[in-house]
Amino acid sequence: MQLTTTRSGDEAVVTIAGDVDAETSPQLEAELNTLFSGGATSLVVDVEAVSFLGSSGLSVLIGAHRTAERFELRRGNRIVDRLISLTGLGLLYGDSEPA
Amino acid sequence: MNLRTRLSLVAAGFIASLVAIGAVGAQLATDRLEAAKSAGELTALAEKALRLNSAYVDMESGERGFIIGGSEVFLEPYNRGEAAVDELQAALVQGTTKFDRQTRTILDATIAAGGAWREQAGRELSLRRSFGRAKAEEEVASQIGKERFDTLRASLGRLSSRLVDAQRAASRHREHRARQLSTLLLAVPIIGVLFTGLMALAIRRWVARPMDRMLAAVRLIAAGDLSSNVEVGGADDVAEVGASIDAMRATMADRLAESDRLREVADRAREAIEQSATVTLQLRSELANELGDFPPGWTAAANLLPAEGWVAGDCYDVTLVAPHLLGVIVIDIAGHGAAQAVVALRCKEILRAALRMRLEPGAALGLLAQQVGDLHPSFVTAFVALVDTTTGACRYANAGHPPALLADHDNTVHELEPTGPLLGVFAGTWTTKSAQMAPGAKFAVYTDGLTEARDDADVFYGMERFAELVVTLPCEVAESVIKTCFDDLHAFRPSRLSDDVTIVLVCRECEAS
Repeated sequence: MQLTTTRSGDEAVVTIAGDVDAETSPQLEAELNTLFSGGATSLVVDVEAVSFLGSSGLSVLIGAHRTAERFELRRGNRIVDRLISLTGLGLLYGDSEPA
Repeated sequence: MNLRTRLSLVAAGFIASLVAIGAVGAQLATDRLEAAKSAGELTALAEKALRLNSAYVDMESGERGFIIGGSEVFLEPYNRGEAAVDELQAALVQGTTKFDRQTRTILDATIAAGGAWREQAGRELSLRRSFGRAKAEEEVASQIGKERFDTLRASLGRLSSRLVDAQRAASRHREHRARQLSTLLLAVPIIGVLFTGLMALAIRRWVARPMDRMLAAVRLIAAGDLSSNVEVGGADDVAEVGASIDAMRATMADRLAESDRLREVADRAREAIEQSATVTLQLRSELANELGDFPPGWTAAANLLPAEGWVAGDCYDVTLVAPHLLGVIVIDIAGHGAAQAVVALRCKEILRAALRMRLEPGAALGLLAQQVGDLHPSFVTAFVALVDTTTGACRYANAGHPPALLADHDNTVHELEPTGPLLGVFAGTWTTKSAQMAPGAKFAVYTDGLTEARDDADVFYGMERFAELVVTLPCEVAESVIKTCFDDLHAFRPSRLSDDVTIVLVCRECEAS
C-alpha cells in the first residue's frame, strides 16, 4: 500500500494505492490520525488505485468519516464501489440514503 | 595472613633457633677446649714449680756440703740446681704471663726470694773459698741464709698451691662447659619435636579444620541445603576459599529463589490459561455450536476456523426455530479475537431470540441494530435466513454481508446480496427477500475471511472458486462438503489465515426418483 498526502489549509487529500488489508490498514489509520491531529477538518480519500479493501480498511474509512467535518470518498474504483454497495455504506460517498 | 606466610614464619623461627643453638654450642665448645688447654698448661707449670723447689733444695744441699767439705765436688748439686733454677724460673715466667696477676706476683716474689738467698749463699761460698770453713760457718750461724731459704721455701709452697688451685679451677670450668654443651645438644631434638608438634597443630588449625568445615559445607550444598552460611576461618587464603564457597552458595540460593518466584508466576499463568481456556472453549462452542437433528431430507453442516487462538469474530447458528422452520445465522464482527467473539455471541443471541419470536429476518436485523447500538470502530455484517423445510421457501436478509450462494439442482447459482447496510455504524433498514430451495438445492453462507484469503502469490481465494466447489460437490451429506471446502482452502493457503473463516451449508436432498 502506498499513501500520498497533500495538505491545503484545513483540507487534506489522501491518495491510496494497493491493498488495504489487516496488515496495511493500521498504517492508513496512523496517517489519517496524524492529519486530524495536525488540524485537518476536511478529508478527501482517493481510492482509484486501490486493489483490495478489506473490512479492517473499511473500518478505518468509517472512523475517518466520523472524525472529519467533511468527508469525501471518490467514486470510480470498481472493487471499492462493489464493497460500498454490498455493505450499504453509500453514506461514505455522500449519498443521503444507504445504497 | 595467608597460609604460605604463616608456614614460612614458623619455619624461619625453627631455623633461627637452630642457628642460635649452633652459635652457643660452638662458643661453649671453644670455651671448653680453652679450659682444657689451660688446665694442661697449669699442670705443667705446677710440675715445674715442684722441680724448682727440688732445684733450690739441691743448691742448698750442695752449698752446705761445700762449706763442710770444701771440695768443689760437693758443689756439683749446687751448680746443677742453679742451672735448673734459671731454666725453670724462665719457663715459669713465660708460662704464667697469660694467667692472673696474683700468680705472677707470687712467682716474682719467689724469684726475688730465690735471688736473695742465692746472694747470701754466694757470700757464704766466697767466705769458704777465701777464709776457710770457720769464717763461712760464722756467716751461716748468722742465720741470714737460713731465714732467706725459709722465705724462699714458703714462697715456693705458695706458688705450687696457687698453680694447683688454678689447674683445678680450669678443670672444673672445662667440666662445667662440657655439661652445658651436653645439655645444649639435648635441646636440639627437643626443639625439633616441639617444632614438629607446632607445625602439626598449625596445619590442623589453619588447613585441616577449615578443610573439614569446607567439605561439610559443600556436602550440605550438594545435598540441597543452601540456607546455612559457610564459615571456614583459618589462614587468609584458606578463609578466602571458604568465603568464595559461601558467595557461591548465596548466589545459588538467590538464583533458586528467583526460579521459585518464576515458577510461581508460571504456575499462576498456567492456571490463568487453564481458567481462560475453559471460558474460551465454552465461548467457542457457543460461537459454533453443534447442529441438532433436522427434518428428513435436510442436512446442514458448518465450521468456523479462527484466525488466531480458539475464538473468533465470526459466529453462526443453524437451528430449528419452529418444527418446520430452519433458522440460519452467520455473523462477522470486523476484526478477530476474544473481544469480537463476545460481541458476536451477543449478536447471535439477539438474532436467535428474534427468529424464535417469529420476526422476519429483516426485522430481526433491525432489532439487532437497535440492541447493539454504535459499535464504532467495529461493525457487524450478518446474514439471516429462515427456511421452511416443508416447502423449501427461503426468506432472508443480508446486512452488508458477502452474498450467500444458492445453487439449484441444475447448478444455477443465485447470489443473495445485501438487503441493507452493515450494522453498528450507520442507521439503516433491512428488507426481507425471498428465494426457493428446490430439492437438490444447496445453500451456502460464508464470511469474507474465505473469499479474501490469499495464497503466496497474493491471489484471492475468491467467491468463484468457492461457488464452483459448492456446485460440483454431491450434497448427500453436508458435512463432507464442508470438510472438502476447508481442505481446499488449506491447500490454497497452508499457512495461518489472516481472518476468521466460517462456512455454513444447508442441503436439501433430491426427491426420490
